[in-house]
Amino acid sequence: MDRFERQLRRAMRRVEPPPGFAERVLAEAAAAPGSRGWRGRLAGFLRPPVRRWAVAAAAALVILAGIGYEREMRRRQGELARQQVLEALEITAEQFQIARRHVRKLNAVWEAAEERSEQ
Amino acid sequence: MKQAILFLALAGAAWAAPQDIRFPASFEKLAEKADEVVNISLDADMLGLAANFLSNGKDDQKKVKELVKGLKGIYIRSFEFSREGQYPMGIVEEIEDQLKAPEWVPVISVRSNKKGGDNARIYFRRENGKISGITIVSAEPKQLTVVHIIGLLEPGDLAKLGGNFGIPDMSWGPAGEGDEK
Repeated sequence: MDRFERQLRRAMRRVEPPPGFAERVLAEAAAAPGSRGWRGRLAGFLRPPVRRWAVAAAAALVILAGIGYEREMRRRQGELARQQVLEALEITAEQFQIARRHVRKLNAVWEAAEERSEQ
Repeated sequence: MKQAILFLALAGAAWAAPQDIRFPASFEKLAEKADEVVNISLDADMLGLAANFLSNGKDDQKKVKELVKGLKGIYIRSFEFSREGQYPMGIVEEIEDQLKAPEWVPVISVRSNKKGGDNARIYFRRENGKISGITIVSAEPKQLTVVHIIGLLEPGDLAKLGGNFGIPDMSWGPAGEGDEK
């Protein structure tokens, strides 16, 4: 073995990495721009305090949508009730009129009968 | 009478509504036989809601709003049939049996002895000299209508609304006025 071979063997000998080296490499790779998927990017974006704001905004949106829906339902219900009231009053007035017509018809019959009996 | 068949969302709750009279259970079967059905059930809450949707500005709607304020409930069932004799008179009796004196007083009563004749009765309930309820039972050969209104109401209040919203003119003057020609 000549001198060159000895130098080569020394240079090529197995050297153990320092503790935690693999984890650090993986973490750096994950943090490197362009190396993450959409989930990674989203997770990065949603780190506090952005996450808190996003959650608050989503909750506000849900609450506003709920209030809007409730108001719309209430409006429809109210409009339906209004129509029903008008319909009910119309029917009631019609029924009064029908009853009154019957009474007048009977009155006319009685009056005619009375007139005949007087003659 | 009415072209539209109204089966409203509240129909189911209507049977349990706090009304003074109970509509016979057989009304549900009657609805299946009828060509046209009107089913209106408005309790105090719904009347309050309806009042909010009546305009204060428009004079005619203002009158309705005023009238509705004194009411606690409006319940109407009306069935129109294509042929005569589609409902038993027992149903009418079942309703009228609940309208007993001294609470309920018949103010107009037209009863025909002829088969297929018209029968109509209007009952008032009086409390402290005021009308606190009106029930109309109208049994015609092809139509059965029951109107039940709870709350302070005078027939004159309805007359004030005559000519608006399709409500017929109800002038209570001498014979001939306000009658259908």
